[in-house]
Amino acid sequence: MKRELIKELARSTAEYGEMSDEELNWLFARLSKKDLKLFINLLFWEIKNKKINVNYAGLMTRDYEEKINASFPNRRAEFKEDPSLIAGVKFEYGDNILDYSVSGMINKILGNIKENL
Amino acid sequence: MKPEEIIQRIEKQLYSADISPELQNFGIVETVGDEIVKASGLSNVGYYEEVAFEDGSSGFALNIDEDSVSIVLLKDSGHIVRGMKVKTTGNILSVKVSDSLIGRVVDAAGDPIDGFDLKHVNPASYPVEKIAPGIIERSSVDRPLKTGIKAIDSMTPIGRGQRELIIGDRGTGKTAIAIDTIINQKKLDMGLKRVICIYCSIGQKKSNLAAITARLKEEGAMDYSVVVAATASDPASMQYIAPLTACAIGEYFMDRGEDVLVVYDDLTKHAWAYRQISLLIKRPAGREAYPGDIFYLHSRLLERASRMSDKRGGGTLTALPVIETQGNDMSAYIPTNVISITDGQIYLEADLFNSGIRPAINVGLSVSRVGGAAQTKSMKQLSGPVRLELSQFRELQSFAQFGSDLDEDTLKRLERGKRITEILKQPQYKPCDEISEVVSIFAVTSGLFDDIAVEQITQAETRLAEFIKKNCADTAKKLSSGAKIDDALKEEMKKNILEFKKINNYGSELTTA
Repeated sequence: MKRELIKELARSTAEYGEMSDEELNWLFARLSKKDLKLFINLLFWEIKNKKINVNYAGLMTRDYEEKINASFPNRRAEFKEDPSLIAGVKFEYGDNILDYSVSGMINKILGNIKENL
Repeated sequence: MKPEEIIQRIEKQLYSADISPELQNFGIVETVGDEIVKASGLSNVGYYEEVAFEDGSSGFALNIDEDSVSIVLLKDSGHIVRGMKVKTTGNILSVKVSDSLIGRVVDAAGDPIDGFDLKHVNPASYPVEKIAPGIIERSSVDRPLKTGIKAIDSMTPIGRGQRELIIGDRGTGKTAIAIDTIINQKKLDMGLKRVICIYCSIGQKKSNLAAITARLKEEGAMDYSVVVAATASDPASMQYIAPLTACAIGEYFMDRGEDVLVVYDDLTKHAWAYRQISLLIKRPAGREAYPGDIFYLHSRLLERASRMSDKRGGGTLTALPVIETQGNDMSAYIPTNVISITDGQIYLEADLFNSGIRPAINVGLSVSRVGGAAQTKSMKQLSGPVRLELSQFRELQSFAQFGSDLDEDTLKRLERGKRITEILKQPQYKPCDEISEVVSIFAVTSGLFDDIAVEQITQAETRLAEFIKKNCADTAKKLSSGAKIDDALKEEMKKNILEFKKINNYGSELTTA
């Protein structure tokens, strides 16, 4: 099957949110192993692109949550507490990471010191 | 480093630390194998960008496809697994450079492999891949790079900023020529600037590298040299990057106005490493299974050798690439590629080597496209006669078997040719200075050595050079400046050589064919 079609299939599956058993059987019957792998891969990234993982440590009020949702209008935010961040927030969306956490800053400083010492 | 110094440096880093959050792009490892990792994601990765794995391994992106990125591993912890995260670093593949590299042996990533720590002082970061200087930024090659090898300095002279290929079968003395050239830079002949030498070993045995490094240390050459090594046991990615790293290190010194010599030993193995990587990342195979851009790989590397204009610092980067042929086949794919890129070649033959002519340079097939522009005036004067005499000798050699059937003139030319061949022989690790070279070649081309037996020529030549330096200070001074040999200097030299012969009893018997 052509790559563009598989990509479109993955995009629409991610948008719809679910797949019936009939649709799955249709997929297994028509896609080769290689195409199936590509479909799964593309579907994985489509789903990742549709949501944003918000890991936080410390206080997360309703107000903050609304502000974050407003900053990423086309994505569904999923909030999760992660004490290893010490404090702050870490956003993960698509294949991007935006790290506003204290542990991230400490790691960055340590990396700089290690490199320059 | 003292504890107080360490604390001071840490404090300095803390105060100047940039803690603003960065947007990092990451991917997920899909397949791992044979120095190549395929990852999905990494939508913002750049070509040749360094990437870092969760376990500390690192690599660079060499193929960016629609759905995946092929990453060539540089540092492999051996723990990369499927599903591991890999993130971009925002840095193009670079090497840290500073004066601290001089005297050190480093790998293709710039890390020391000679058993000691490497502490850079005021380091800069130079990208391993760089666009070569443009036309306006360059100047023509006009200063000699003395190899100390008479056959090369007289007939295929190398200039600073030139690319001269050393080509020949295995065991013909290619590396020996390169090492002798590096050792000769200790001399600082004729008041020329010092030359920083970088020896890049690609795919060689570690034992060979150890021997070369030991010899360079013994000769004092490590005081101005850097060795970049990617040995046979190193992955193909390191062998691929090594010459680029060596060139980047050379560019650091060149940009400061210094003269640099980079030896790539050898580019055949470099081509093999690139072929291996290209096949593993599934690039289409071309002739002899090499990728389609194998020519561009070497041309862009060698184009970075240049003589910069005075406005750009006047620095030079001279490249001595080495290519190994199989069965003297100069018309094979990689040799012809590199021959067409370089500004000349020094062709070494196994037959000459085996018959005792070492360095085994075939002067007929060797050429330097820079030529006289890279020679001193005195050497330029002498190179014409020596080349002419040798070419006549080569043509007449086939008649040598007829012995007494030849006329006197032919016999004379044969004898002269034999003596020139003897003069051009040179032991390894004994590069000559300008005075020795000029005096030896002058003595033999002017006919003053015609009455010395061929077997005694080598000894006579060595003693003559010592005699001139010790007893003829005026002549030695004039010769060491590289100035033209005018009639007065010619007469002076003739007189000195005749005196030398008289004192040492040379030429007391006539020689006949």
